[in-house]
Amino acid sequence: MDRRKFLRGVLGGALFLAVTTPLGLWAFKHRRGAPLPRDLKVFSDPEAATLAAVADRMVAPLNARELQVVTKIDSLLAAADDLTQQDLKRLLWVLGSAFGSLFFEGRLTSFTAMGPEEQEKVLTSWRDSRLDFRRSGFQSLQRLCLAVAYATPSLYPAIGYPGPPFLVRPDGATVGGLPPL
Amino acid sequence: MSELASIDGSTLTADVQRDCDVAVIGSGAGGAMVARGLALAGAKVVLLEEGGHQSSRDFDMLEGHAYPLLYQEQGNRATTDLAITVLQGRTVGGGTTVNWTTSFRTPARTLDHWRKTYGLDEPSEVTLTPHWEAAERYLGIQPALPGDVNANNRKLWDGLGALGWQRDLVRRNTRGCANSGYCGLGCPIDAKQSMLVTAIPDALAHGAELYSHVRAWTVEAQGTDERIASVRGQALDSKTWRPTGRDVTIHPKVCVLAGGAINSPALLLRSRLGNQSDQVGKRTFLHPVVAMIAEHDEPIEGYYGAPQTVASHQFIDRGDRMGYFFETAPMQPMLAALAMNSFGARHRAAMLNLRHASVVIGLCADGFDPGEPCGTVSLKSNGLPRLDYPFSDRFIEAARQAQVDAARILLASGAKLVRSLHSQPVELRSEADLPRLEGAPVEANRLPVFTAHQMGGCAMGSDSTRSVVRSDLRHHQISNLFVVDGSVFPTSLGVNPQLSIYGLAGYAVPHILKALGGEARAPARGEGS
Repeated sequence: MDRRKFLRGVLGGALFLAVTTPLGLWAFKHRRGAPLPRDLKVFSDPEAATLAAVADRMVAPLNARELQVVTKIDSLLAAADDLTQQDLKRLLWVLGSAFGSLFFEGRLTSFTAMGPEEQEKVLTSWRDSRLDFRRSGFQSLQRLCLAVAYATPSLYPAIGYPGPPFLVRPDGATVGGLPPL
Repeated sequence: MSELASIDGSTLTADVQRDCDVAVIGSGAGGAMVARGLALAGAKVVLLEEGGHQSSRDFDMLEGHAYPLLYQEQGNRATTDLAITVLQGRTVGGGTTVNWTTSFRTPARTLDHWRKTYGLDEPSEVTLTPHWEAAERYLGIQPALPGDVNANNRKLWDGLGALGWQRDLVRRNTRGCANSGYCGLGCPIDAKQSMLVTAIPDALAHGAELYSHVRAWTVEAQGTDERIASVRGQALDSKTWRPTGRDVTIHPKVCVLAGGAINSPALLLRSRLGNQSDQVGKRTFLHPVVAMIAEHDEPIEGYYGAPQTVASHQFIDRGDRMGYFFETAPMQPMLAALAMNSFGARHRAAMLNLRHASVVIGLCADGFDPGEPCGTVSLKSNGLPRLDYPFSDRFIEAARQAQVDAARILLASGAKLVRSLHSQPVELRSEADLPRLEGAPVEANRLPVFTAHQMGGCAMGSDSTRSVVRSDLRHHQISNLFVVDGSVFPTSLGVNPQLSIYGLAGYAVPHILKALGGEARAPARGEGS
């Protein structure tokens, strides 16, 4: 089934639950205390909280928050078309809200309310799922998190990558050399 | 002159209307070479490019800058199901600004297949050879020297040699290359002879106008004529890539579509023009890539050195089965992080070994079975292109075997461990472990697949019910529309496509001039290249 149609179907049912049951109070519940990036262009606070929790697991043991993974993905997504933005926001809703978790996963706990080990199990189950949608959802989150993390020059020394070499441009200017620590 | 003729559409404060001889949509291998050939012949050319007009001063070899700046969808283009990552340029110079310089002529076996299967007596090897030769001279295409081979490519070379398999040093379009290894992020020293530093400035110096940050949205016919009357482009904001509200409208005598195998079909579909055959966007080929990564005792540093200097076509002809060929890929951290398909601690461990990693990629030559399910380009509800590519049985078999053979190459090169890219990687330490790969899934989003070569979707052919353009690259029904990019290939090529497209561009120029009515000077043979 088409990923977008599938999501729309799932969300239609979940939204129905949201307005008809007290479980609505649990929607978008996220762990309090972890500071969220400010001035995001695309993500709401609940979406950013879910993405931050996903990023923590994806790039662990690196620190996703120090690497500003959520802010960088938000920046990338701000220049994506509306449909691409909607896809990722829906995915985070399914993963991060109590409704999405109940409707889609059959559990009452949202991703952000779980501990690290449980989060890793959920991500692994999405990665290995028989459902195309879950696997593609996992891949989209994995690729975004890892791409922006490992494109961060401050990370280079830790993986033994010296960074771009020193070169002299045709106009005599220089480029490359060791990146700032 | 060239700076005056290059207009950044993102800065336009009013709509633009232009009359010209030829509107060229897209500034990559096809569009830039055609624009140059036509401008040299005296035609008034206006070139539209969705991406920005960068220079080497903008290229700093940092992946976090380069992919958003230079690639379609900021490096995030993919098939609808996200199973195949699509690396495709979006910048002046198109894919040539970000490719890895590998230059092959169209193989004789591919041209022979087109002749037998699609009635394409032309373009033939004889016809294309002068255009290839002209492009090779113009772009400094020369075989890599042994000293250009980095350790990553050397592992491929050694593994192939140990197995007794065909191997070659590839030819590259460079002059004064420092072998830094960052071709994919834009050449910082103008050594790569991309369109950005060759055909584009040449075309501008001969009177062509270039509008960057302008996305050609539709082509429009006037009345009931089967002729393009106008090209309507949207100026784009350079940061958000959204339309600024300014339009660039070109009224050409002839239109050349050269947006590549995804954007060219999408433009025709959006325009609701030229799809009488129902073949626009059908039979899209990707040379889908699978890979194996190896760990070595010694440092490889695959992020440095010319990215591709060695190739093998040992298995390009597998009879009725899909063929494949082998090359390597650069190992800068972000690209490597995406290839090492895991997360958390396991991913981190793999990345910590990056310095000792080498990679072999297997590129599958899709489309040689006329009945093979290939890719399809259609439109999303917002009019932007959508790409679907099912994993056919032929591809699955080829991908599986290509992984096995890539693993054999790496093991023969002395690797201590070879790993597949599966979500749950298959690890091999000797040939005795190879059967493990045979049971591993080749399935969407279980095994990462990449493409850097997009082809097909506006196929050329003699039968107007089965193809979109004629053998002279003119549209079957629209007499002043030519398509000159990888979309016209009726199959994939079995080699990296840039030189094939340069050859086609040179071949197309006299045909386009003829369609212009002989108003401009006819170029000498091969001059268009």
